[in-house]
Amino acid sequence: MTALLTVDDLKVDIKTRSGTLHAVRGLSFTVNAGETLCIVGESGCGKSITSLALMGLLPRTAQRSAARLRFGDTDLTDARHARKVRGNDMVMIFQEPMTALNPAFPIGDQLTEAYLYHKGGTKAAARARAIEMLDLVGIGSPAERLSQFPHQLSGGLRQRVMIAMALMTDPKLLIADEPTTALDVTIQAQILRLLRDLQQKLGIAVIFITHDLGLVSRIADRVMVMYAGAMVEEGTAAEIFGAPRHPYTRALIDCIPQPGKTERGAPLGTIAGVVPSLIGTVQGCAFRTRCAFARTDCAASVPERAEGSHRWICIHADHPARMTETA
Amino acid sequence: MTEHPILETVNLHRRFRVTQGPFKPSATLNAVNGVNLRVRRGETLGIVGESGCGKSTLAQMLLGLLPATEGDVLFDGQPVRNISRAAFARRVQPIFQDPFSSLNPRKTLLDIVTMPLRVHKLGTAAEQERRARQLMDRVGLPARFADRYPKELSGGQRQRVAIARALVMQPDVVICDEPTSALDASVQSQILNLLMELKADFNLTYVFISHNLSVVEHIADRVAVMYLGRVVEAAGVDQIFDAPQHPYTRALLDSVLTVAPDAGVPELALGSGFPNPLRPAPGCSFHPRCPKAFGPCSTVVPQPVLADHPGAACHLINPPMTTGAAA
Repeated sequence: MTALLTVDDLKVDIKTRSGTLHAVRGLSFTVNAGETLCIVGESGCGKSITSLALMGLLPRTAQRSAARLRFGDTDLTDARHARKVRGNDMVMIFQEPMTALNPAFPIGDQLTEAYLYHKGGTKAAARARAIEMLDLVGIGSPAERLSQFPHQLSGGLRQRVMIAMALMTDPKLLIADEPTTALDVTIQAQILRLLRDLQQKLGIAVIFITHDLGLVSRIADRVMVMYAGAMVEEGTAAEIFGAPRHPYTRALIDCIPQPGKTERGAPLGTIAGVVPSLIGTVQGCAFRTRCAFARTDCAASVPERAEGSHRWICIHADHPARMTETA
Repeated sequence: MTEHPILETVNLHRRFRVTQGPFKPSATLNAVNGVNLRVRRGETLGIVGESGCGKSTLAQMLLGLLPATEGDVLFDGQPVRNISRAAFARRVQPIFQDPFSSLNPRKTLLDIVTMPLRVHKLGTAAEQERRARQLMDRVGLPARFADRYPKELSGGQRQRVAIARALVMQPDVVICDEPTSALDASVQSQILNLLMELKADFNLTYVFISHNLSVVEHIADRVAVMYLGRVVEAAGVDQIFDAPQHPYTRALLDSVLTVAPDAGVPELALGSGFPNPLRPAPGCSFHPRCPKAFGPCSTVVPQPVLADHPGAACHLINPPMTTGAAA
C-alpha cells in the first residue's frame, strides 16, 4: 500500500532567548489511506507542534526541516505546492472550537470560505455543499444554522461545525488536535462515534493527537508515543496497550487509574523526575533520567528496534519487566 | 450523643439572575436545586457531573464563598451563616483546579504557604515559617523552593503548593475542585497519591469534585452524581460504579474511555439534545435524553435523593404513584 503521508526525519527548532529549543527531534512515520494514527504524549512532548509542522502552520520563530515530507505525490516542503493541499486534501480541526471559529462571522461564511478558495464555483453551490455537510455531521435544520454565530452554539455543536468545515473540500487526511478534550464525556463519545462513522463512509485517514490513553486505545489503528520531541514507540493499539516495550509507554499506562484493574484507593504508578530541557543538544535516550531501567550506555545513542510493525527506541531488546515476567 | 456529619447540606438552593440580552427579560438559573448531602468525618465524598451541572457552585457554597438562596450548609451541626468567616475558614480549606491562577504570582512560595497563618494570626513569625517549611517538605517541595515564585514551577509543583497552603491551617475538611484536571497523567497520579497519603496522615475529610470518573472511582468512598443542579444518584463507590441505578449515571459510566483496545467507542443511547440550564425540561430534567423515559418522567419531578439514603432520583426506582406530584 502506498502511504498517503510520508514523514522522514522531521525536525522543528524554535529560537528562544536561552538558545535553540529542539521541539521535534527527527520524527519519521507514515499514514496510510483510511487509517487512524494516534499521536499520544504529555504536554511539551511535541505532538501539537508536529501537527502544525505538517500543515505548515508553525509560528515564525519555528524552523522546520525534513529529509522528506510528502502528501501523495506532493512535496510539502515546497510552499506553493503545500498551499494547494492545505485546507483542501489535508485539513485540520483544533481543540477549542470557540477560539478556532471566528466569532464575528456567521458559520455559513466560515464553512464556505476554504471551499470557494480551493474549488471555486458559485456561492450558491458552496452553500448547498455546506448544508449537505452540516446534515452529514448530524446538525438539525442545517439551512437555518448557516446564519448563526458561533456563540449561539453549544460546545458539542461547535465541534460538529468544525468537522463539517473540515469535510467541505472532500479531504483525504484529517489532522485532529485534541478535538474532544474541551467536551463533556457524553458529548465526547458522540463526537468520536461521528468521526469514526464519517471516516468509514468517506475513507478519510485521521491523525488524532491526544494525551488521553483510554481514548487512544478505543480509536487507534496505530499509535505513536512521543516523549521530549521524539518517538519512543509505535505500533498497533493491541501492541502498545497489550505489550508495551518502551519503559515510558508502560509507566504512562500505569499512571492512570484503570477501573477493574487498579484497586480502588491503592497508590497509582508514578514517573519520577521531570522532562529534560530540549534546549541545546539532547544526547542518547531523553527518558533515561526518569527511567527505572536506565543503564550508563543509555546516554550514548540508543538503537531503534522493530518487530513487524512494532517499533521502539530503547537500549533494552524488550521491556525489562516483561523479560522477567516471561522468564 | 450522635455524631453530626462534619459537613451537611439541607435542601440547598442557589439561583442566579441571568440577563439574556437587551429587551429580553432576565432568566433564573437554578445552579444548585435542592441538594441534600452529608459528608462524614474521614471520608472522601466524590461529586461528579458534566459542565453546568452545578458542581463548582456547590463547591463554592461548601466553602462559604457563596451564600445560599434557600436551605443551609451545616458544619458540625451548625449553620455556616452563624459561624464567623475566619472560624469557618480554619476548618474548611480549598484546592482549586488551576494552579496557574490560584497562586499569587508576586509572592514567594513561603509567603503563599504562611499567608493563612498570618491572616489568622497563629503563632510567631518563626513558628509560622517552621510550620510552612514542614508542610512544604511533606508535600514534596524541596526546601530550596521556599524563595521561588510560582512562575518558576511546573503545574504539578504548583498544585503541591496549593495543597501545602490548604493544609497549613490543619483544617478538618478540604474541598478539592477538579484538583488534577489541568495536569498530565504522570503528574496527576503523583498528586492523587499525595492526597491519599495526606488524608491518612492528617485525618482529613475530602469533598472531591471532578468530571473524571476514573479518578473519582479511585479516590472516593461515596459518590454523588449531579445533573442540572440536582443530585440524581448518591451511594457508596462500589454501588455507583458496579451497580448504577440512574440511567444518567449508567450513561456517564459507559462514556468513560478506559484502556481497552478492542472495545471501540461506546454507543450511548442518549439524545444529542444538549440541555439548556435556563430552561430545564419539566418533570425529570434528564427525561429528554433518557433512553428509559416513560409516562410520568415528563411531568412529575422525581423524589430527590435524601442524605444518608443511597438511591437515585428516578421514577424507575421510586415509582411516582406513592409520592404524588409534589414538585
